[in-house]
Amino acid sequence: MTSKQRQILLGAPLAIVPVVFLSVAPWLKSAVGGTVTTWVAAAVSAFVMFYAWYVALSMQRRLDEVQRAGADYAAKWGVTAGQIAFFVLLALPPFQNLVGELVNQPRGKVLLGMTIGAVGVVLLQAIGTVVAHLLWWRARR
Amino acid sequence: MIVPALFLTVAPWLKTAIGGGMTSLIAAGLAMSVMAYSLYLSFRAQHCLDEVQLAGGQFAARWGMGIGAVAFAMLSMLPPFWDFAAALLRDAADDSGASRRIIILAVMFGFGGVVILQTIGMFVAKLMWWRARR
Repeated sequence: MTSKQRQILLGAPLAIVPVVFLSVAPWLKSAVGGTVTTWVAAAVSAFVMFYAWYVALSMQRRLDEVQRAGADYAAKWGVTAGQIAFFVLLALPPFQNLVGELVNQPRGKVLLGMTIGAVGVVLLQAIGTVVAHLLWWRARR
Repeated sequence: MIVPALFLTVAPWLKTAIGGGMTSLIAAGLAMSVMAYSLYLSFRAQHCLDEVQLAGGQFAARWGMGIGAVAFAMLSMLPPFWDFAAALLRDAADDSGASRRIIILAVMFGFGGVVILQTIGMFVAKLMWWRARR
């Protein structure tokens, strides 16, 4: 088995598991009820997130020094640029109109909800960064 | 810290004096300037770091963002989180009838939007890094 085939095989569950769940979700809902389906959805999401993490970890082990420097640069600046881009997008009236129409609700309420979600993630990411930094220093000592 | 605190203090007065629309625009402008200033501060702080400190910062940036996103997703599975979000939104929007479904949808749109744009930002930054190397 070549390295590329192994990578595809490793990443395949990330696509297969959500697709299978989405296909069986309507049947599951009628068979076991909405609450159990929600719990199964939560378990599937948690599995996909942790598996994606495992795939990222195993892929990063194979990177050389230059590739690792590129990944570090992308993680540091790309993530910040994405955060700023989202808040700039939230301030643009065409985007505000679009989300209002999409949810079919007054746009002020929807935008407020989106801001709470976005600020929540950014806040938890900041806390996560501090925790990762502390862990790194502890491992070094 | 001072600028957001100052804005939050004068916001109610500003809303009655110049209207809600203008106050929202000022809030957006202020939020952007605070973000840009934080970026400038982080640029400045990184100039003074040695190699080991830089490596620590890069490790934290790489894993901290993932930890934060996963933590938010895990938090969103807990019903008390949605009670808190609903209370916050109903209070801020002055709308006690806002349905829970819409609140969940809006908050998840915000979460998904940030994560998707961060992923796109990472791809773009990586491409730029490789272009600058060649």
